[in-house]
Amino acid sequence: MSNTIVGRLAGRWSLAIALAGGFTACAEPTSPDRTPKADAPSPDLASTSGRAGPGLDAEFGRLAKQIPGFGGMYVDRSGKLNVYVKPPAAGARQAPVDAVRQLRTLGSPRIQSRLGQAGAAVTTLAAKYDFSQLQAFKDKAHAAFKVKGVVYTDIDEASNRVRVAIAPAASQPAVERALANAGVPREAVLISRASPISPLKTLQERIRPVPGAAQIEFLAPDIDPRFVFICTLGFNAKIPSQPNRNFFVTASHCSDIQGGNQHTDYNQPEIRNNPAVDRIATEFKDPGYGDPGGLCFQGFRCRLSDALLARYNTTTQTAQGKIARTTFMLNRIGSIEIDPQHPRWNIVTEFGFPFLGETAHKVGRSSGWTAGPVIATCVDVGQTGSNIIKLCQDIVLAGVRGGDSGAPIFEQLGGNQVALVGLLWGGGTNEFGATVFVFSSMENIEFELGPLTTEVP
Amino acid sequence: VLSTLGVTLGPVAQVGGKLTVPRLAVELIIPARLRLGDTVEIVIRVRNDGMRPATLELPGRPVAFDVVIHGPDGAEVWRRLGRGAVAGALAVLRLAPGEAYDFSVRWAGVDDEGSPVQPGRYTVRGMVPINGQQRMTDVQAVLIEG
Repeated sequence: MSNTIVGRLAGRWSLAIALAGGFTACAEPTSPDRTPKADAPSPDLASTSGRAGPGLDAEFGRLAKQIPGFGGMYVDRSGKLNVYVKPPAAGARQAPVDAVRQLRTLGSPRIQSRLGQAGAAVTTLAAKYDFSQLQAFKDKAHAAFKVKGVVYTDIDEASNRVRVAIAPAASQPAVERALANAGVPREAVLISRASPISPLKTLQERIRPVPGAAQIEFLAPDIDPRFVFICTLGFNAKIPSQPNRNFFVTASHCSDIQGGNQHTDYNQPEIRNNPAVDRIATEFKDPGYGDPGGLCFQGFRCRLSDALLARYNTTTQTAQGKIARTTFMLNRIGSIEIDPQHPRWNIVTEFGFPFLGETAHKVGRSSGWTAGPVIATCVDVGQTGSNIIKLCQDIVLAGVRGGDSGAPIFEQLGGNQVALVGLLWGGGTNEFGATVFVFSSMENIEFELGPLTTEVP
Repeated sequence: VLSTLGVTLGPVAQVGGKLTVPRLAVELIIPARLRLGDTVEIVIRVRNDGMRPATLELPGRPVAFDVVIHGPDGAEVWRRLGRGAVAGALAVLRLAPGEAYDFSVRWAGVDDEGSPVQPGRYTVRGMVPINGQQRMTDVQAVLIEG
């Protein structure tokens, strides 16, 4: 972008805002598989003894002891309730429909409630195994964990089988041998492939190469040496005068002293005993607060952006043009867990400033990925507890929390492509009490820091 | 130029649940009597009353603690966070058992518009956002004498 100023300043206006927040969580639904057929002979179960265990398996195990032949139940993708019942041996009196009727009285309140929802529309399926048998098989199938790459074992209610999930690189024959050695009949087991399950990485952890939206920590010995400060790394950048070095942009107040270069050291994710591990960059350019263009007000200090440039160490791997993408977005507070399927946004262009009504997104280390409409543009905003006014800032109706300062602001272009619009520095509430965040536009940032290249190469 | 709309500070939750709730004493320190025209330092003292070190996460830069003063008629007269936006850094402070930290602000005996207040009985309360909770001091009465 060029560093021409800033036509929007002519129409600027003022607003007072204040900080507020909230918290939300979500869960992900799962769907059962379809039912396969199996005609293999029943195994000898004389030596099996299924454990009760916790949760749904325990409840089904209890019912299998009270209701002969009960093999579990599940809701299929059409919403229909299906109950597995092992057909009675020849000459036995109990018919499968009796098992369903017994479930309506013997089942836990949760099961009775689900049966009540289904009414008469319960489908009875012929089970190969009752649930006690499946529990016994699953207990033995734990032996498969000796094989490298086994992800999980499960009683798959939809297939009336034990399921062993293995990683793509795992050896299925080795798993089959382990199951056979443990006495688990092959026909009672479904083996499927699954990705290894590992905890999701968050914005607050170590991320290399370093993308935008990662947590950074720094000290402010000139202000108060007792504090450690946490902010968000905005976006990576290249500058024309040092084309072989890598830089990032974060908030100006995310430094030892807001305005002026104190060579603040930045750590990602945090300051540790061994600075060589996580010290990634040093403050490089942070213009002073004053009276830019004669636009400031008596008794105050002003800038057009709350942004500084930090220069990466030569040893730090950086992800030019990348912003960490998290698993979900909400208006007030979103996810800080990096999406394993889509771990990065790609910056493909910049917008110098937003238009009123556009949807702006941010990813910050505290409130994660939030988004909302731009509700005010080119606003002069005071910074609480200081005599600083930031000129021609933009305000978004979306969540923010302490530690989000420096977060990248962008607009979605489709897929993983985004247009960089600015850098978050503050938050508050509007006159109706709704949470808003304030950001400096790219036009203002580059006017003060100089031209930046921020896109993916 | 700036509006004087009041500023309130909301909770800052720790996402990920690493923080515990420390045993803290949050105390307001201000003289009980002032003379009209005095400038006074108002202190909110946060002390770790627990047996273990406490980690405090404090939003804002400077930290967004607030002091609110109400006049003899009960109307709000002045508050520290009276205007503008809170800069969204997060400060982390570690206090050893028994250790304290003072957040202080000077009040020149004026209202939010900068006009001197009248003699009378005023009430003062402090608030500090700590680990996602707004910790409040007791309300202190201050007599301003003419």
